[in-house]
Amino acid sequence: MTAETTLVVLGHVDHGKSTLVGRLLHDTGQVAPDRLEFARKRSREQGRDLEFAFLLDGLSEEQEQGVTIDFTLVRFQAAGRPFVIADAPGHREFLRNMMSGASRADAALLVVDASEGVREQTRRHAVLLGLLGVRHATLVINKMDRVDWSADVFRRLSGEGREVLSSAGVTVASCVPASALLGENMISRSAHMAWYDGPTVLEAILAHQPAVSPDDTRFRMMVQDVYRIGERRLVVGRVESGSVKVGDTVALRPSGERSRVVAFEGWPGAAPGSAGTGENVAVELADPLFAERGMVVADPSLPLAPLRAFDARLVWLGRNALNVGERYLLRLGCQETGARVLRFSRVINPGEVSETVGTASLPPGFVGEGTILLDRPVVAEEFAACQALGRFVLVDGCRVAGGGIVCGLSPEMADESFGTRADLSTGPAGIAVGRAERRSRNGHHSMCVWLTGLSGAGKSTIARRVEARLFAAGVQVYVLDGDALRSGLCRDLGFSQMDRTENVRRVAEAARILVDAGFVVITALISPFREDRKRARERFGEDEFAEVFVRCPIELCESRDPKGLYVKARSGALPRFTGISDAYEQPESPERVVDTGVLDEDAAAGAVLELLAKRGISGN
Amino acid sequence: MDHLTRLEQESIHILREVHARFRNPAMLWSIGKDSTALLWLARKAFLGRCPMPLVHVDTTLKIPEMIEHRDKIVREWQLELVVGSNEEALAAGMGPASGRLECCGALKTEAFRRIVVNHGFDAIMLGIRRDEERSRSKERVFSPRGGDFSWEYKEQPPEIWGQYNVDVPPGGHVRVHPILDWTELDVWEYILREGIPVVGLYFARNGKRYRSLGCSPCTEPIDSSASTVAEIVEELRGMRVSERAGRAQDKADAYAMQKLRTGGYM
Ligand SMILES: Nc1nc2c(ncn2[C@@H]2O[C@H](COP(=O)(O)OP(=O)(O)OP(=O)(O)O)[C@@H](O)[C@H]2O)c(=O)[nH]1
Ligand SMILES: [Mg+2]
Repeated sequence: MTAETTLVVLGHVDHGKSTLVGRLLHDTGQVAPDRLEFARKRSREQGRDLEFAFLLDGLSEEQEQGVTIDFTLVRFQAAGRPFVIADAPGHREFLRNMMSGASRADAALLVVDASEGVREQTRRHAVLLGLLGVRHATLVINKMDRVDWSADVFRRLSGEGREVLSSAGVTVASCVPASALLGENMISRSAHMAWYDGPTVLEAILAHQPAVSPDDTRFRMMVQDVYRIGERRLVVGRVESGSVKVGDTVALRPSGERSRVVAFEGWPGAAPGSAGTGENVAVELADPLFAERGMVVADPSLPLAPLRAFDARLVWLGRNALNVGERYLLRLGCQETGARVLRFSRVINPGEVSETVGTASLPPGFVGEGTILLDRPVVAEEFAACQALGRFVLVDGCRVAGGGIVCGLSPEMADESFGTRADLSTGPAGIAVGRAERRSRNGHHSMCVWLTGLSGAGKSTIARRVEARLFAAGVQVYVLDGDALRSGLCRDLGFSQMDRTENVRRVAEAARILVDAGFVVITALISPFREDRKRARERFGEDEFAEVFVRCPIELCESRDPKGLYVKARSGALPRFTGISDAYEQPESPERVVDTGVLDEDAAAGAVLELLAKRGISGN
Repeated sequence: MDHLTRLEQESIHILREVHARFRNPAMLWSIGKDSTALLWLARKAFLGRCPMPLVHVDTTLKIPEMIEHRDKIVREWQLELVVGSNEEALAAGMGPASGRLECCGALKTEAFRRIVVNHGFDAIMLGIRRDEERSRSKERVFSPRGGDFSWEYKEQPPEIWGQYNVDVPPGGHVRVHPILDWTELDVWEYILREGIPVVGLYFARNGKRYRSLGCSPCTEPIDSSASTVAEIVEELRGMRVSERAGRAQDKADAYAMQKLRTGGYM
C-alpha cells in the first residue's frame, strides 16, 4: 500500500475551507449516510440548503456561528491512495488550533475567496507554512461563482497568492479556480470556466506526495525513558533519522560517551536486530552508561555539541505577548529547560505586508527571529539538518504557547562541557593562580556543604554555627543563605518549579566560584527537588561536595515557624509552600542526615563539623 | 513502514510519554475493541506488562459476557484492575428510564470522576477515536481537564510536533487519547494482524452482532453475518453507515455527546 499523504487546508476565515473538504468527501461518496442526514437536518433548521462545512464542523458552536473553532482530521481515499485531510480554522483567534492541525502536514491547500482576495490570515498562514517546514502547496481560488467565473479575477488573485506563498519559501504546485459550494472544478471540470485548463482540486490533491524528510540519514534517537528489566537497562526512544542495528557503535550526547548496541527488546516475541526511522525501540547498550531521558543517542560522526543558546525563528500562540528576557520552559524532543529570548533581531506581523514592529516583545500571532538563551545546555541541530532536533515549543505556565525552529547554532556560546567542573581560573601554564594554589595557601581543602530540608528545619542556624566554628579556626568559610540570596542574586525568581530550579542552579554556580576561590561554602536553602540537587552536585568534583539532609518532622517545623510562614501557607496566603502545597523530595543518599527533631543546635552543627573533619577541614 | 505500523508506533510513543511524564497514570478499559487494542499497545510499549492500573467504570448495565471476558483477560494478562460504580445513584434507582443523558452522567461520568479523585490519577488514557463522533473529532491527544472535570473545548492548548501538554492543571488530570487518529477499520485490521482477543459479542450470532458496545439498554446489535475478525474487516470495508448509529445516546439530542463530554464524559 502507498504511504499516506497529509494535507492541511488553510486560509482566511470564511473563505470556504470546511466547505471544500466537505464537498470533496461528499462528491467522492465518502460520507456516511447518517452523518450526511445529520448535516442536512442542521442546515435546514438554519433555513439553509446543505452546508457542506457541517460535515467537518461538529461542535454546536461551530454550526451555530458558521465558523470552525478547532481543527479535525479526516481520512480521504482517491485513486487508490490514502490521504489525511486536516481542516484548519481560519479565524485569527484560533491560530493555535490551525498550527496544531498543520503541524504534521506534508503539503497545504491554501484557500482564497475570489470575492475577498488575499487577506490577513491568508498571509499569516502562508508564512507559518514556512516555519512548519511545509514546502508544497496548492492555491485554490474559491467562490468563483461570486465573481461571475471571471478569468481576470482568477489571474490577479492567483498571482497574488503565488507571491505570498513563494516569499514564504513554499512552492506553488498548482492553482485552481473553483466553487466548493457548487462543486465546480472540484472533482470534475467546470463548464463555467472553459478558459481554465489546469487540474481540478482533486487532481491537484493527487499531485501531492508524502514529504521526503530533508534530514541526512545518520542515526539519531532521543532517549524518552530508561526501563529496567531485571539487571538490564534498556534505553527507550524513537529513531528520528537513519537506522540502527545490533553491533553499531553509537555516541550518547551530551556526554559524548560511546557504546555498542547489544540487542533490541520487544514484545510479543523477540525484536528484530535493526530499526528504522519512526520506530520506537528499547535498546540494550554494551556499557552501562549513564543514560537518561533527554539525552540523544546518535551516530558518533554527528557533531552534536550541547548548546547554551541558539538562533531561532518562532511564532507565539500565547494569550499574552512573549517578553524578551522573561523565562519560559523550552521543550526540544525529550529535553526540557528554562529559556528566555535574549533579543529579537526582527519581529514581524505575518498578516501584513512587510510590517516590522518593535522587538521588545512578541505579540500573539507574530513571528520573531532572535537568540534564545537556555538555562541548561541542550542538544540541538539546525532545522534544515534535522527536523526532530531542530524544532521546539515554549511553555508558558501550564500551556504550550509557542513553537519555533532552530536556524543557527551560535557557536560562540556553545558549551561543550556539560558538567562544568573545570577550574575556572585556568590560564597559560605556570603563571595561572588555580584552585590548587589557593588551597595550598589556605592550608585546607575547599568544598561545598549543601544543606537541604524543610523551611524551619534549622538549616540557617546550623550553617551559621558551623561557619562561626570554622572561622574561629582560621578556615576560609562562607554561608550562602537562600533567603538572603533571594533578595539579591535571585530577586527575579519566584517559587514555581522552574524558578526553584533556576534558584538552585544559581546558588550552585555561586558556590562553585567560591570553592574555586578556596572557600568552604555552606549553602542553606530548601532545594526541594532531587533532580536540581543532583545537577548541583554534578558541578563539583567528588571530594568537593557533600549533601546534608537537615531532617525535621513537618509538624515540628510548623510549631517552630520562626518566620510565620507556615501560618501564612495554611491560610492560603503563600501558595506553593514546600511541605504544604508543594513537594519536598527527600535525598536518597545524602552524605549525612542531621535530625534536628532529636539533636539540639550544638549537636547538629557538630555532626556537620565531623563530616568536614573527615575531609581534612577542622574546626579546632 | 505500513499504515498500521505507523499508527501503532505513534500510539506507542504516546503511551511511553505518559509513563515517563506522569506520576500516577491509569488506563480506562471498557472491555470494547478500542480500549482492548489500546491495552495491547500498552503491553507492546512496556515490553509485555502493563505498568499502570486499568479502570473499569461498572454501570452494572453491561452485558454479562463483557464482565466474564474482562475477568478472564485480567487473570491471563496479570493486570491490575480498579472497578468503580456510582453506588448512591444505583441505590436510588438510576437507569435509562430516568433519562439517557442523566443516566450516562450519573453512572459513567460521576462514577469515573470518583475513581479518578479517590485514586489520585493524574493521567487517564482512553481509547476514543476522532471518527467515532463529532465532538471527539475535535479532541487533542493530550487534553488537560480541570478539577471540575470539564472539557474546555474552545480553549484547547496547541499541540504541535508531538510536543504534548503534559502539565496537570491544579486539582485536575490529563486525558490522553493514544488512538485518537485511528479509524474503526484500522482497529479491526490491527486486531486481525496482532491476534488480539476480543469479547464474543462482536461476532454474529443468529444474524446479529454488536458493532459498538455500551450498556445493554442503549446499544443495539446490527444485522451481520460476520463471525470472525477477518469477516468483520471485510464487512466494514463495504459499510457506509457510521459506527455509533446503533447508540441511543447520540439520538437523544443532536449535541448529546458534546454536552456529556463537556461535563467530563469519555
Ligand atoms: N458562494 C459561495 N459560497 C461559498 C463557497 N464555499 C463556501 N461558501 C460559503 O462560505 C461560508 C463559509 O464557508 P466555510 O467552509 O465555513 O468557511 P471556512 O473557510 O471553513 O471558515 P473557517 O473555518 O471559520 O475559517 C459558508 O456559508 C459557505 O456556504 C463557494 O464556493 N461559493
Ligand atoms: Mg472551516
